[in-house]
Amino acid sequence: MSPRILAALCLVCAVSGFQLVDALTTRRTGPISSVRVVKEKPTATPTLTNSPLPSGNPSTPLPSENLPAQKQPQSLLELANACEKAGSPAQSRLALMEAISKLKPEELEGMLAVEAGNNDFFRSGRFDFQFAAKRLSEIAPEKAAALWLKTQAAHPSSDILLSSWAKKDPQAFASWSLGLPTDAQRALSGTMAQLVTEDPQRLMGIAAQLAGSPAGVSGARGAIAGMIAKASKGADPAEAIAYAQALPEGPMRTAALAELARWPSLDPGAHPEIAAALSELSPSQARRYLPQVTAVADKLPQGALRDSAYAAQMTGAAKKNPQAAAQKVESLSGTPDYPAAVRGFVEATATKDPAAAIEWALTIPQTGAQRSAALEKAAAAYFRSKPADALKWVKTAPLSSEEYLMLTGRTR
Amino acid sequence: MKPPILLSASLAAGICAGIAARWSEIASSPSASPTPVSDVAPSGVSIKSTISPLQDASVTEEVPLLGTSEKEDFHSLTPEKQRNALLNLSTHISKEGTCGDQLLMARVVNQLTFEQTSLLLESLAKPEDGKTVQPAAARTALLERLAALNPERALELGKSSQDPKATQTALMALAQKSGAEALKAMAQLPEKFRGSVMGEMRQGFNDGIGKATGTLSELTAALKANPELFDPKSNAEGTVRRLVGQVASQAATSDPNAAMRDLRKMASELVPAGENSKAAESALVAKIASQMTRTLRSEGGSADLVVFNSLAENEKNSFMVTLEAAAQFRRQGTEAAIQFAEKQSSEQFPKDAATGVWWALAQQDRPAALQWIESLPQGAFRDGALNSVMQESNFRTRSWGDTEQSIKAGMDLVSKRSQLDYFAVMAQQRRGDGTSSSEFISSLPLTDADKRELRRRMAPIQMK
Repeated sequence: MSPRILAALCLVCAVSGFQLVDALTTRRTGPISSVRVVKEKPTATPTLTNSPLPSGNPSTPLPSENLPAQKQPQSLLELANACEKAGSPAQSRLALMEAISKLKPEELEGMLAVEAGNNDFFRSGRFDFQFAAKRLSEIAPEKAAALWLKTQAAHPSSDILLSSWAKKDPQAFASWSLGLPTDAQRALSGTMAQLVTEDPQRLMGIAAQLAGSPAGVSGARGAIAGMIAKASKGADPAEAIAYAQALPEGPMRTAALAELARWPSLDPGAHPEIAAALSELSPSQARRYLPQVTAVADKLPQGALRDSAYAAQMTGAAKKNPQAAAQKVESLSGTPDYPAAVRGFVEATATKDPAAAIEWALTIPQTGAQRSAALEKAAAAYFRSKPADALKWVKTAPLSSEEYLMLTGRTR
Repeated sequence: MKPPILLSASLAAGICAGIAARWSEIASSPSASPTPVSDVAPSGVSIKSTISPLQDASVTEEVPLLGTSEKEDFHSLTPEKQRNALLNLSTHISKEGTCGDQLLMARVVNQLTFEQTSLLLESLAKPEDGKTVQPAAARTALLERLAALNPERALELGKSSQDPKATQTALMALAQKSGAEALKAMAQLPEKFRGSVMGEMRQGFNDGIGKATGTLSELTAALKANPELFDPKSNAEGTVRRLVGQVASQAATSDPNAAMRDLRKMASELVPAGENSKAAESALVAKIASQMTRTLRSEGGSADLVVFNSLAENEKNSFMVTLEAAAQFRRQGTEAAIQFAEKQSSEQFPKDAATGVWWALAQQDRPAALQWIESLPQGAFRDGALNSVMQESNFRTRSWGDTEQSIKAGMDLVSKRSQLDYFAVMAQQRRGDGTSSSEFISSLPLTDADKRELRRRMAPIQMK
């Protein structure tokens, strides 16, 4: 035999021996084969090239010093608890990340599905769930999205199942979202807002698709919120306004323009497009911008938002100085803003002096929402503090039939 | 040696060499197989090129470091290169980092010595071009590494630099070694600084990584020596409660009755004797038990129920009852859950239990849960279920506090009677949306007759 053949044979045998050990170590492992807990000393730090992350690759097992050989974790919780034994929080976290990163998509999916039924309402907020969910979103987005649909109602922090995929492929994410029931589309608001808050341009590519979706509205709001977070006081909002106006006409554009009311030091009254968008919102939606518009109530177009702003302005003023506020309210008498101003004044004073507050409410001349609300507030406070007086008052008060029914539940 | 013998010996040697090589690789120590530098983002190399596509999340792509293809250990890089690599990786993690990036950060930091870690932290804090960078992920990883290597020393560094995050990570690591020692260390922090540290630490406990260890008697001794930590007005109370809750939960996993006995003993030893001492003891037990039931529910088994059942009425709260009822439903079904609700003696708790039961049922089958309401008699249980319809809807659609979504959920109810009951509950429970009951009722998609009926129910002045 020539030395060259002998050397070749030796090489073949060496490789065989190498593979034999590999085969033996592989056979010893269970379904979650690569899950091992590492202790700090000695810390097994496999080279990154030798233990690649993609699931399904055979990877170098780490020494198992804490887990009983026969008992491999069967759930994410067991896995996390086992990794706790690795040492400090940093070591526990590393061991857990190593273990999760080596799970196959179906193993991860199974473990996360079990956690969806966990009785702990807060379970999805924990690091192990968050990391596992993010990982599934990276390696098997379709499984992660299906799991989100099953878990999102029970677990508030399960949106991470979507975030990596949404960032990676916003178009696919948007298309998928449009096939969901409306309530599920609404539930994507957090994911959508997160997606575009980081990078508002992400929305532009999918805006047309999402024009009629509740997620589109959240995205539009989130994009502007992201710009506001980066804007310094006094920064020019022109670019952000142009961005908002480039969005499809309708709820998305309205939401984006309304959100601009929060721009640092911006006067919504000086930007008619923003004021107009604010006035298009429903009263409950508009209330989120009250802090920004209260001081400029007189610059807003007539409507629900202007009324709310005047009411809030007077409530604030009456809490500080009731007499000055009363004078201000008087000065608005005869104007369209008077009812809302009185309502705000009554809101602030009803508990302290309900009898006076109810007389103020009666000064609102026309019937309507402001008068009803003010009467209701003052009457409730009156009845709580002096029920006999309130009963006596209501019998003779100059109320319409509808108002009497509203305050007493009875017809006169 | 004859050729056949030589051949056999050579083959055997070859096999042995192969086996030895593979075992050696499997059992390799950090120093034997450190992370190649090419796997972390080095200075001068775009982080993009070192982070593989999201789909495979691999961190194995080979990128030469500054023109060299040789692999180096991360821990043997110059401090400047280490700093730059961590900065790049941290920036990437904060933007679009994958699990692979997070793992890579943990792996490379895991190679560092205390001194290296400490130096890197210092260098990260230095301004660059007049700007101080905030590499949150790198900083957190380095602080945790420091704490892992020597929590006591890390704590001293955190205290001396008045760094809440550094102090918090050290305390978490210390608590994992000994909860009592962590409490003693907390007590030594200046009060104002402790407030900042405790804020960070509460989040650490919520994260669920790193559990405090020890016994309740050890914690009692530490808290007796430092009673201010458990004072309800103290800035440490919330964190201490979580720490004690973790230790008590671990004890309760094996013997919940014994754990509760120990907890009551702890309360009696910590609360000074006086007029209201019994109430104060109950308050303390209630706070810890709330943590315990939450942890134990997550672990499975029925230890949470044992803990819950051992509590007096004034030691329970609404949220605890809601969650326990939901857990009962999931484990044992409707009948057991209703029995659980009926057993609650206060007026409010059956309502809270109903909220939990309905919520859990809705997770399984919402239409069936809506139909079930029709079979419930008027009373607290039904009110609780109706209240849950609103909460579940807000939760499921992530539209907390959204009046319009709550109205939509109410319209899903099967009968008009249930809808009116629901809106009456909703009218009472709305918070801060600024509308009056009359405005709210006007906005409902109901007939005028139904609105009149609601106005009658909601009338502020009740005529006899």
